[in-house]
Amino acid sequence: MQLQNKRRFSIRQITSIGIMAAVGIVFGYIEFLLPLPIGIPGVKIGLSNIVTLISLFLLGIPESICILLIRVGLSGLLFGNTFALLYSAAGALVSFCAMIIIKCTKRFTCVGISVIGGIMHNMGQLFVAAIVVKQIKIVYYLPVLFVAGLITGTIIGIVSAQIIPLVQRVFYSERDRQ
Amino acid sequence: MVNRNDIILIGLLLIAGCCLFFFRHEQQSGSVVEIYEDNNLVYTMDLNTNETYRFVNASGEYNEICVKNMHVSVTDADCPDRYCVHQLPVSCNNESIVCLPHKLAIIVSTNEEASFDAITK
Repeated sequence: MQLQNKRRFSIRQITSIGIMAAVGIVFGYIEFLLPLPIGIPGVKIGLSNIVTLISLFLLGIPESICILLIRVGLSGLLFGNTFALLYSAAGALVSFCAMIIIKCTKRFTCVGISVIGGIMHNMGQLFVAAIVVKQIKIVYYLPVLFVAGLITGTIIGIVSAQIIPLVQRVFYSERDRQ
Repeated sequence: MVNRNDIILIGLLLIAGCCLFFFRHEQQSGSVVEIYEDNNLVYTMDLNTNETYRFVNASGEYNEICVKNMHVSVTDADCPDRYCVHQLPVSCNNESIVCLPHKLAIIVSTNEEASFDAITK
């Protein structure tokens, strides 16, 4: 399949995927080292979502999926365990699908997309947790996680809106030199 | 950078979030702590006492659950992520501490609910 579609990813795209995945893993590691001290597990700033947003805007959906899978898989293996992997994979996939849907409407900027991503990430994690312990009662934390996702998503969206033009400039100036 | 749709979206979600908080039952302090493993009630503790219970599962993994000053917390555990240990002590009805690797849920509830469960069982 890879051989048949030899031109599916150019070297530039593969390099971009590698760099973005690496940056995402570093962001994940920073969050792993500095968790938010609010006492509810699963609430994170979502720094690695910056990477997902940049790739979604500047690279495209197939590349973003690759970056997401590499990032989640490798950070799970490097710093976590099976459960951390399950947790973050559920959150990441749910939020990624939601962000693609929202992006396809073409009505929202990256702040709106990031807010949806942040909320859906927390919802995905909460429901996986509820399924694992078979306790629907932990849905009690849904409002807290919803608002937390809203706040962190807004912050990450505003940060990404600043970063995306800068990264874009780097990408394009390199392309011009060729 | 931010367009009108974004503002509307964030506003609507903020209202939705506030509604979720409103619909949640007002916080009343609980009186018993129920410990579930894989949705089976394994132990019940009284929030009014000071007690430490060491939960050990079939594979010999443990969580040390401590009730103190009407609050319950996990003081020690050998799960890989230790999220349960880092979580702040809880005391209100329906609040919970979850240890995903051990499939353990520690849920605070009120007495009425406990007696209701006992009757239906």
